[in-house]
Amino acid sequence: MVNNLEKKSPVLFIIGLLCLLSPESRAQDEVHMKVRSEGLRRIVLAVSPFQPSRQTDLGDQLRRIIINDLELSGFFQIVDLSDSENKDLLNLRSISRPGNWDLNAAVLLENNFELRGGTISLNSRLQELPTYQQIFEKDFNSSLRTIRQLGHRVADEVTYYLTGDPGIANTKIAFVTVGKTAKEIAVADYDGYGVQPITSNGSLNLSPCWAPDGKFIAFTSYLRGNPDLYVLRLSDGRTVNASKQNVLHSAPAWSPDGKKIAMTLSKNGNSDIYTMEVKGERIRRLTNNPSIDSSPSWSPNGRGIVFTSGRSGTPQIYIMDSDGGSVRRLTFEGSYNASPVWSPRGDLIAFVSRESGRFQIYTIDVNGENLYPVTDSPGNHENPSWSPNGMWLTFASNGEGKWDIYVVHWDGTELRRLTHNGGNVSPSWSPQLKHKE
Amino acid sequence: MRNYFILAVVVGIAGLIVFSGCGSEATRIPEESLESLLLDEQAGAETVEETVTTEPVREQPIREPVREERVAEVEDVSFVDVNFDFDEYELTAAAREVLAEHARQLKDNLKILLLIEGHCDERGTIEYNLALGDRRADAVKTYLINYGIDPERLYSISYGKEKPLVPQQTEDAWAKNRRAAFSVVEK
Repeated sequence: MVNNLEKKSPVLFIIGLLCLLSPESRAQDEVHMKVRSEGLRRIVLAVSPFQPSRQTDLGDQLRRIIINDLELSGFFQIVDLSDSENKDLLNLRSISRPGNWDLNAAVLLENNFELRGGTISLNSRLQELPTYQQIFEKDFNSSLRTIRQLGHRVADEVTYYLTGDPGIANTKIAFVTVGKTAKEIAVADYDGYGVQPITSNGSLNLSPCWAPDGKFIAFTSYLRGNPDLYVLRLSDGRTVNASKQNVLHSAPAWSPDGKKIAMTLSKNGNSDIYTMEVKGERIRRLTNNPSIDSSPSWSPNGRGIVFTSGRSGTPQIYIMDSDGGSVRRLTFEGSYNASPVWSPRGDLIAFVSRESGRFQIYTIDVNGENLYPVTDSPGNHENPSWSPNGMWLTFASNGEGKWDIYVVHWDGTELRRLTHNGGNVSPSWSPQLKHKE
Repeated sequence: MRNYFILAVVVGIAGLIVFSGCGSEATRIPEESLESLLLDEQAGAETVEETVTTEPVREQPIREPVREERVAEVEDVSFVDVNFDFDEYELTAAAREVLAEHARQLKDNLKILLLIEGHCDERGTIEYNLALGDRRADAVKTYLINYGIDPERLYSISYGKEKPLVPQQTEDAWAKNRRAAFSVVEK
């Protein structure tokens, strides 16, 4: 197999080697530590006990959901004022306080909570400290049944108001649950609650991928014996087989404008990347290469696709235009780089890289610089997926003994485990799901 | 095309065997277009006040052809796995010897159809391994065709790393999982 890359590869190898040896790559560790020690610049957010002060179980539950969401957003340092250690903090006049937080830069969140019949009413207010000037107020209503979503809504509204970021409390993560003979797709809230199966066909179901409007999930299923492309509508579970050919369909990726699905089709043993128009189902071939081309992921502006290709001899990450032109290689270190996903912010690609026989998660700039290790822990880490605000990555890992879903900040901090029962793989983070006003 | 029809018949037979014991009503998935699914969507108002909970649709479970059932139907034939080197889809010399024997059995039993499954060990990503498994199945299929077997008798499928033969994480287990496996059907 002769191609241009083979001729260039000695040069690339030397460049790669120089990159490994250069001070640049050692500086990665220093940058990593600097970010860790500075921490994120967090807004100090004090949260009052719910009024009325008589704490009902429900009020307490709602409050804890909101506090958890605000902490998990990554933007805030939460001071829980119902904590006995903290409850007199607002009354202290002295400058120095436990934890060294500056009262002058803090915000106070107060909520009035009322439960009438089956309906919760919540009035939420933000006040700047130390002036107590009110800067935000909103009323929320919810049935008891959707109390978790109410908490998520409040947390995201507070996050949006204070930071401009829409937050992630309203989002969900789809993933594959591995049973004895079947693999089914399930969806959980971003905090791990409310796991719901969305397929139950007793077959192998793989690689879930959300539509950009959050209403559909595309996936591969062996439901009819052949690995076909399916699209499921979440509101009622109705599913359509979108495959037009008797070939292997895998790794679907919905375009940001919702109009196309990119995927890998394997014909006669040759896997290439194709796009299919959602309306009309017209198929267009993007790569035409005897090696394996797989795992497409779109840039947020829809003009580029990052993918895995074996064309240089080992699996590496490549970028091309969304019409298949201008293919360029992105990764030159490591012998197996795969599963690339383009950050919704447009600037970073996350992917997995095999290192000492195990897969770790890395990010790299779109221009190929600043290779950055996100994980560096035991076991394998696979199938990264970005949160819609580009701040977090979810992935599957067996590092603690079982395959489970994890979430980590893109800089490698704030690692948290989402599932605990094992047999959970292939996560896909939803887009923003909340009702836009 | 014909291979797909034959497979559908095979799967249908397997399905009938499975369903004879089932009491549940089987709902067919309509063969409709993607566009109709998208256009027909309900305007689900996802406000906090009215949240729709999703009920999974009980789809008709269709099992893939079960290898043990298949072999029992046809007497005196045995199609053992062929194995592959790590990250490779080319046939080893040992694999070619085994396949020569498989070709002989196919020529001696003209009623047999053969399903070739491509598999990978657990290392590597799910998606890349699906493609690699497909390459392995196709390499076997091509070899048998070159040996004179009618392509209409051969069907290939990839399972990537999704259906390992053995669960251990040892070199020996991985070597066993890197395989092309076979199911036979009598015409």
